[in-house]
Amino acid sequence: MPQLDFSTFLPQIFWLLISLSFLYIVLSRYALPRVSDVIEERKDIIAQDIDSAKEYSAESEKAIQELNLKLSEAKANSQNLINKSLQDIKEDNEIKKSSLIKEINNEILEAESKIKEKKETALDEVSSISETLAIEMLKNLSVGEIDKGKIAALSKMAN
Amino acid sequence: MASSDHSSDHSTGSFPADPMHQFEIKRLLDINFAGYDISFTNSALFMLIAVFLISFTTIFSVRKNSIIPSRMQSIVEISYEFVADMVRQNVGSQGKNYFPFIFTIFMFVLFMNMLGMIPYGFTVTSHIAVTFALAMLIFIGVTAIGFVKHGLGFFGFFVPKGVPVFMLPLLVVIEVISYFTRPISLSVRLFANMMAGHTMLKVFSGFVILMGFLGGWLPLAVMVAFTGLEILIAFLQAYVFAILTCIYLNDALHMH
Repeated sequence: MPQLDFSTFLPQIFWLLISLSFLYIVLSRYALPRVSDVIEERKDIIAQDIDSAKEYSAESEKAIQELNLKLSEAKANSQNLINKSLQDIKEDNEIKKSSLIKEINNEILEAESKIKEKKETALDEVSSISETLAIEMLKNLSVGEIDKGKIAALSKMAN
Repeated sequence: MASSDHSSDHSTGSFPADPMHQFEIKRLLDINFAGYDISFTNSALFMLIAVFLISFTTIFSVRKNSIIPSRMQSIVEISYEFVADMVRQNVGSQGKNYFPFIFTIFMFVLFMNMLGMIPYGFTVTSHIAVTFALAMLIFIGVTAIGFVKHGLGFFGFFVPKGVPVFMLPLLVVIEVISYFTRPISLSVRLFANMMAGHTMLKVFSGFVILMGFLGGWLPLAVMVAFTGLEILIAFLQAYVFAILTCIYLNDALHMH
């Protein structure tokens, strides 16, 4: 068994101590501080990134809320405008309607009075025509003197 | 294990490959310093390869200002977080100062275990000398931390609380023994796991050659499956080694 060859113990242990102490110095002085720096730095950067991402998401959340607020405001405004204009149109319509009705009524009244006038004149004319007709007829019958007063009274009675 | 019999020279001829041959320490460069043998061996070479690979990947694959890491950087960061979590859960906030040490131990053991899985690689952790030296280093260090933190009060660690007084002498002896066997169990666990796994792989690969083209497929299939298991064990043993170091450290810092 080569492991029990005592003559090899000293050189093995000597080189073990040399290499182990060299490795310890290299690792503890140079390598490990660097590795821990790099790891810490990365952790910091990641933490910062996460923080800024959270900030951004909070900002966007805020912006969304503002947008929603504005949207609802705009909706309410437009609803108001619609209601108002509807009301206006209704009122306008009412006014126009009532004035139209008045005009129509006036015209109807006018027309009625005209009809009445025409009727009266027509009746007057009819009575005068019938008077003259009666005079002419009586003239043709040569009954002598015609009493215009009597005929007028008669036509009035016929009316 | 029966396979250890093959390490003797005369049996290597009968078996295609000596399963223990892979653990041989080869001197690549003979160095003698003040009468001490500190030759550069294949074991030392693989330790340096592990050190180079760990240093290189942890330093040059990590780029600053990278939100999305590259694959290599991800691996480094995942190992960092993995060990950091281990230390945090087992030692607590006080363990922060010892994190570089635990990380070094974990990566070093992991890379040496994994390098052993590469063909023609050498498994440094399959030698009891290395694992025991590592375990003793941790044991002495942790005990020193205990005494620095608590002074002589650290001896109270060996006295269990809420135990009848007449039982104490027995329990203190048991506590002391269990404390001092920690480096042994820590080192033997790692060494035995790595050695047994690699020996098994070698034995099965020998069977593939012995049974030839017709019968060799079965041990080959076993070998493939076993290689997967060995990779898992390589990671698991590094993890166990590191987590036990954390637990010992926690004992020294908080005394139960």
